[in-house]
Amino acid sequence: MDSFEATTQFSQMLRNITPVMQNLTRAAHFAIKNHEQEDYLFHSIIEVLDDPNTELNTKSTIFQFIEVLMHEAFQVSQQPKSHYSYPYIHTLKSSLPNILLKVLPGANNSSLHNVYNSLKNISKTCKTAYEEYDNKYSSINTLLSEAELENIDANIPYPDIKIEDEINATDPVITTWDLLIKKKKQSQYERLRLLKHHKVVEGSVSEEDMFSFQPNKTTKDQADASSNAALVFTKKQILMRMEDDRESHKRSKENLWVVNRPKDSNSLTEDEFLVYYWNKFGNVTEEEDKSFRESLNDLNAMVAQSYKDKQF
Amino acid sequence: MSELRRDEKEGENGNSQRTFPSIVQVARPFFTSAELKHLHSFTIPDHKKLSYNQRKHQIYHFVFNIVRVLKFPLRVLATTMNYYQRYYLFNSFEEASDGEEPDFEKDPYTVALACLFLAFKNEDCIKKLKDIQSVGNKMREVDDKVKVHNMSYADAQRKVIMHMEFKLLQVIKFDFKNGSNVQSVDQLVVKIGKKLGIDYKTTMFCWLISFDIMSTPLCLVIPPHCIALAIIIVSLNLKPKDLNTKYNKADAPTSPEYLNSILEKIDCYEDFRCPETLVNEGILYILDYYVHQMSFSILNEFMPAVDAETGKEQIFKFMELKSRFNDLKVLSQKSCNNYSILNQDEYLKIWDYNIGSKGCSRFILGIKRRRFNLELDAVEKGAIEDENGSDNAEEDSSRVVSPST
Repeated sequence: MDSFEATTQFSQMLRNITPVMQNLTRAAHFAIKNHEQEDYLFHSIIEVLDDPNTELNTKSTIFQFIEVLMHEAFQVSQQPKSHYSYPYIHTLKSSLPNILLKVLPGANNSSLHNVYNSLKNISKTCKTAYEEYDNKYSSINTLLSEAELENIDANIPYPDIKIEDEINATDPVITTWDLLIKKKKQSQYERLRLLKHHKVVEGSVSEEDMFSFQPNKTTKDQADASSNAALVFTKKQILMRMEDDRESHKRSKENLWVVNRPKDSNSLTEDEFLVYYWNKFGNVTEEEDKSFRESLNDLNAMVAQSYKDKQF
Repeated sequence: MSELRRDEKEGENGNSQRTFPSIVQVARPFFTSAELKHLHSFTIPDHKKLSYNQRKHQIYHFVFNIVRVLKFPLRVLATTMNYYQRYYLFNSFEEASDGEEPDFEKDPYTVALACLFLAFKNEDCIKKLKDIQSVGNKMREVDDKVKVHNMSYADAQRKVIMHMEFKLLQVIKFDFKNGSNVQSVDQLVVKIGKKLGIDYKTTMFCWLISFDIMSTPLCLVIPPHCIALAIIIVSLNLKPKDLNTKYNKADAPTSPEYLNSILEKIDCYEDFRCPETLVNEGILYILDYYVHQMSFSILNEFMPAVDAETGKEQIFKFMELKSRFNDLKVLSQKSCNNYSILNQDEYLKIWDYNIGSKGCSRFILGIKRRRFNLELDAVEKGAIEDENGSDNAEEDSSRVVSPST
């Protein structure tokens, strides 16, 4: 396949991508198979993300695709006698901060949670220690500074998040985390600002109105209004997004049960006991214990019926 | 009686005398040992008992290896073994001959794969059947590309597994929770252990026992919470301080007095809703298991051969404990020792899959007679009107088919 054919096929795939696992892996395998055209294919990813006609939903899915692609690229390269040497990893990793800002443009953070989940997985794949950032991300509502709270009172929009403002960390994944945390902060900030300065709608709103809601532009926001209009979801997009998120949530749960046992043992190991049992079970609360005993009562009723003679 | 069997007449036109068999069964997931023996007398002839048991242990290792390769949690293994043993309560145990064409229907390994297939679905650990087949066949060094019955081995095997899954569903009476709404025994022992404040070593000892007991038919006799508590009580009595462990060494070993105090405080029914007779049944079964099978057990791999304190082999500790526990009150089998009662019980028969395909079989989890009142009324009314040659019988029969509840 020549580079032109590969890029056309690949961008077609990306434009129509859905978050079904099969779909994501198919695109990833296509990219890996044509890794000789890496420069061209990488460019199509950026091109699709930059295209003003690409919906935000698709952009969010493309971020998930990048997660899958990096994971698969690692997997194929680590196999013994593999003829791959970590395709795409370097290019994707170094432009990850840029990609993040394309997926979460302006003040629109609707894909924030999906990006967060994917970035966690990417960090795992790249073996980047991210716990500290993960904690920061989860405890963001305590992070708004005095000055920022004052700005909320003054109804000033959150400053644009620019990549140039980032101190270049040695690891671009860390830079991406920094950006993501800022994005979370922005979304928190904008929510507080919205609550403070916009009137709460009283009475009931019809479903139609709710879906076609356009945020009232204050004069201050007028400038961004035209660019923002493209970022507001239509009813169809919202419903599609719900469907997509359900799919990616399902995917995230697919492997929760996996038990990693030490490879060098053929039998039961203490490691399994320690990690999957001893460390996993903590103290039960009074409430949990009560509901546990209640379910046992139900079980006992069924057990009693099972035997011919009265046993208890 | 939890069984209802009747023949329904086809239509009410009077001419047709064909009848459809129909059966309703209420799930009774637990059996006394006499009932198990009774069921096995139909399915496993005496001369095959030994090979059934040997095969069961091979199957246990086979499934455990698949579980390891596919990274399933142990509860999948436990459920698979539960299904496997249930299957042979209601289906004859046969072994595939070494003929040229493999006979999947009779092959215990195919049964095991079907059990695993249903088990991981019920345990919410989804994999593709294809993956299970390829891992399993590779382990047994079977070439699944080879042609049998005019298709590839894998395809033929797949077809049988799917068919067997449906049989299996009838064997477990469509009771997806396996008669239990709580975690599996391997998880329960740790959960209960933590609640009682038992130390790391002793809890690990419990967990190892739960692994050994998974392969036994105890899960067909008493429910998981009683098995778990029985394991805990046995472990607290044995106080296994010489178990080989590599982690949590810093933890000061718990004194025997402390373990004794935990043991004395346990109130089977109040704290854990475990009826005492059932727990006792479990305790004696576990002790009996180790007295006979110690050398094949996983516990054996983690214990020094000789107990440091008594200078005797480990097995003697189990024997000594068993002699102390000899007069425990266990499951009453009064009715089960009476052959004619067992024989009358339709539930304890080889399951006839034809009823489902020719007529109708229904499975329910609990007896709520209310569910049938409408249908029974309709049937009774229909029967009376039938005798009177009433004209509106047709209307009644339609109510039988679709009760308005």
